[in-house]
Amino acid sequence: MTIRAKILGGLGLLAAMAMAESLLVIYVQRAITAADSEQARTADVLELHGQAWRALVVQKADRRAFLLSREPVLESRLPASEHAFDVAVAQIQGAVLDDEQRLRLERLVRLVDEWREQWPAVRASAALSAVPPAAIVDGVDQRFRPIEAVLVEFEDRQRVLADAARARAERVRSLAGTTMLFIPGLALVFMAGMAVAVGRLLLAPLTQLTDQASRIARREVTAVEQTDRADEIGILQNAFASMTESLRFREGELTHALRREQLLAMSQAEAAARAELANADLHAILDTVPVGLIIRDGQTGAIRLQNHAAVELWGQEPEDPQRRQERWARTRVRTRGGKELPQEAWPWRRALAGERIVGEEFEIEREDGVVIPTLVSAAPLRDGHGNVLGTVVAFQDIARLRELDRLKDEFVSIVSHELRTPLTSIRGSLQLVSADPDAVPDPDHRHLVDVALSNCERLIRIINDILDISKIEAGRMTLQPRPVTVADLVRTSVESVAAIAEAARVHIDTRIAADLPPVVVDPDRMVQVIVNLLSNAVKFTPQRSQVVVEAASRGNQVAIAVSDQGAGIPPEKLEQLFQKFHQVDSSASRRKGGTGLGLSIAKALAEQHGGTVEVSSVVGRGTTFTVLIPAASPLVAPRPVHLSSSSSSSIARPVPKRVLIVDDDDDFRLAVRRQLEAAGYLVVEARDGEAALHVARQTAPDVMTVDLMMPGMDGWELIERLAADAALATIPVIVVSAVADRAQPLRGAAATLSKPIDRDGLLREVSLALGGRRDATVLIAEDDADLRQVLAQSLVREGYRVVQAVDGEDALAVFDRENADVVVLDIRMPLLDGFGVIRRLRDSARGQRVPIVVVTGSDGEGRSEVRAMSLGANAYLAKPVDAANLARQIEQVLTARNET
Amino acid sequence: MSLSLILAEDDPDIQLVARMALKRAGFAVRVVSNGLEAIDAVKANPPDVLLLDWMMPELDGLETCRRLRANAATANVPIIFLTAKSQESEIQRGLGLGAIGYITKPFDALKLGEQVKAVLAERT
Repeated sequence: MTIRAKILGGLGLLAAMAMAESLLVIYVQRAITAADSEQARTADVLELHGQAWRALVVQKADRRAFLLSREPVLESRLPASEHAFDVAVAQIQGAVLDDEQRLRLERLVRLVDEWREQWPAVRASAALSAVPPAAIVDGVDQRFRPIEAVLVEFEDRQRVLADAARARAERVRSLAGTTMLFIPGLALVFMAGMAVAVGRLLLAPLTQLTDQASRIARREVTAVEQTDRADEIGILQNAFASMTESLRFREGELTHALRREQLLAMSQAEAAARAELANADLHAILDTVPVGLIIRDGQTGAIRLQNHAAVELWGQEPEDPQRRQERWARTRVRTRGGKELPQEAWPWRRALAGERIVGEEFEIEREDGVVIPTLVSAAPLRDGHGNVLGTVVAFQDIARLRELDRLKDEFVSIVSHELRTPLTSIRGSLQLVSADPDAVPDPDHRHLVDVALSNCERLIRIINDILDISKIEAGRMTLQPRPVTVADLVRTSVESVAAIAEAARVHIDTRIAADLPPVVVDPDRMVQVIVNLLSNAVKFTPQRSQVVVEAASRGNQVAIAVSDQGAGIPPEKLEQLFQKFHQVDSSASRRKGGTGLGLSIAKALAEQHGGTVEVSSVVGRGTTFTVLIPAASPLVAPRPVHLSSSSSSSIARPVPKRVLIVDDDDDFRLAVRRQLEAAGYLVVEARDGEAALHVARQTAPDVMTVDLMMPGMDGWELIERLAADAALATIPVIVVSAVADRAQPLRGAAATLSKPIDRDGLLREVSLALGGRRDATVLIAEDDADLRQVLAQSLVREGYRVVQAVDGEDALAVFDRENADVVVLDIRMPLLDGFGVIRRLRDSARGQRVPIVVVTGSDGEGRSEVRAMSLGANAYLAKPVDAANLARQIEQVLTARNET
Repeated sequence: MSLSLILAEDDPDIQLVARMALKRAGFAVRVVSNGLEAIDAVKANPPDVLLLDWMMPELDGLETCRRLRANAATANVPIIFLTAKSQESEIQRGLGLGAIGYITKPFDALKLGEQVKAVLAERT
């Protein structure tokens, strides 16, 4: 029920109440009036009765008096009293309602009528005068007595009636009073009820809602009960309740969200703290590692982060971009082999182009001329979309490592040499003895010689394998890859083991798939791999059984599988197979002369070729080793396999080198071809850059001579294209051109010759470019930058590794770091002059015996030379220094040192 | 007619073994003990082939080779290294100086002569 209905209902109730009240008042009023009139009537009746009585009494008295006196006046008064009685009775009749009284009144009237009618007789009788007065009086009284009785009766009754009426009136009045009092009371009660109802129905919920609203305002949201009231309050309350509910829900959410926010903020703060800590750690680590690290912005090229080691290595980089440019322009980056790289090929530039560089060695010449052998790793930094944002480059100064490496090599080489020399005598002696059937007549003794010989052979193999493995592990096994056919590799390998296979009475079955792509491998090393597997297979397969070599394509690899029919290897032992000095059955393999290194070497060599060695075996059926090597493009032209040397064969001979002459001048090409062919080179030719690229891909030359001015693709572009092609980038290029400036070697060129060329110059450059480098390091200490450069270049051209120093102190530092084999020393230098350097070198352990070539300004008297020689210099040259003369001097002092 | 051969080798045991092995293969062998002697012997009577050890006193094999190749009179004498230096770089260095062959120690005494002959045959 709606509030409106309730209010209307309330108002209706009020109206009804008022109506009822009015009716009640009217009724009471009426009742009072009725009671009053009754009272008045009864009183009137009593009064009239009295009048009637009095009239009768008067009449009786008159009648008696008349009878006694006979006074006519008296008689004449009689009608008046009669009339008075009649009037009164008539009035009484109109007023009497009580039936009993009415009957009494009728009786009275009747009696009175009778009394009146007796009058004439009485009068008449009394006139006889015979009647005594007393009798007359008695007579009158007698006759009046019934009337009087009725009168008394009537009066008594009337009095009772009057009393009753009065009492009733009294009662009505008092009742009315009570009623009248009761009505406002009722109204009050009703109003109070209404008030309570309003209060309970409207105000209380409203108050409650208001309360809750204000609580909500105070942010204390408590649940509001849903109600089943159907009115507006109910609706309001329910709406309010659902509002509160949703508020509470929202508040809950908010609280939750707030807590989450707080937690988030806390965890963010924590993360920030952790990040800060990690950052601090990172910086501490960065500044502690001995590797220089530089993060560079890709856009600006500016350094974003560098560590202590980087600053030590490079010094602070200038802020100014132009200074930076100048710095880069003076910096040189060379490959380990000494080939100068154009800036695009610098490791960090390659990283910026998206390449990852892992541990490549470079010779980096700083702007101050100091050359630092550096191990560089570099990677691009990318954003989420893969765009390169910058680069991270790690530099490691590996001068010390190089030194350690050198020492180790030296050690290994000395040990191997020291072992080889006595072994040579032992082996040779035993061989010569056992080869002469008459030398040892006793078969037992002959057997002993054979035992000694076979163990000698085994010792030699172990030494060779150890040398190989130490070289591989040091990463110093340099491959000389060239394109060859798999068939050639397999055939050469099978030939190598033919003798032992025959001795073991094992047949080697060769199956080579047709159309195998060529492979680019170091043939010596790949043959070594296959031979290792083959000789293993021959050893472990039973006599008169077969070893199968199978070569086939597998994806973009070539698989060469060697299978024996031996006892097989249990699966759990397969993993250890490639471990060094591991032998599945050591006694068996020792009997068979294994070294335990063959498989590790095979695997390492295969891996160095970008391939691997896999093994599968079935116990009782045999074992298959599979070498996987990447297939080369079918476009490359394979060359025949000539084993230059290998540990299995002790003989090496020079492999003819291939030279590609690129020049548009036919006569020039012919002249160069003759010179080179006379010197034992194979020669191929190309007339322009385009043809040169094609021929280079087909024939894989060992070195190229390139003319610059050519029609079509010229020499400059050709050199760029060669550098950009991974397969061709390693081919040394000698620029031979009329426009070439010998003093300014072209980037990407190993050497530069100007036309016309002399025969010796060409042959020297070609043989130098082919790796005829000397393994000596020359330190040039000279404060004049131009002279230093000229000397350095001439010595580099002679095949020396050159390091430079700009003053005396620098010279000592570079000497220590680079472990130079020869020092070329200017006498006049800042900080520490040449004499000081000689003295300090001779006082030091390492510098004590290093050959020193002194370069002096000509003072005409040779005093400097004398002083230098007396301090311990080995040779001197006077300025101006002739580069060829310097090279000769260096060679002499080096030879002298080697001989002592 | 037997081929003439000069063996430059400082170790007397190896001298003995190598000489026997080479004689067995039919070479006429002269033995010298260092580089200087080798140069002198070559100059005095150029052999068909010079077997040259690397590590020798007075003058090592490399320098001996260099000097012989630098002198027009001796430049054409075929030189084969016979040395314990067996590293690839060393082999390349020796061959780079103009030697026609490089045999590493310990050599196979029964095949040494044939190996020398094979290298000589390949050259022509």
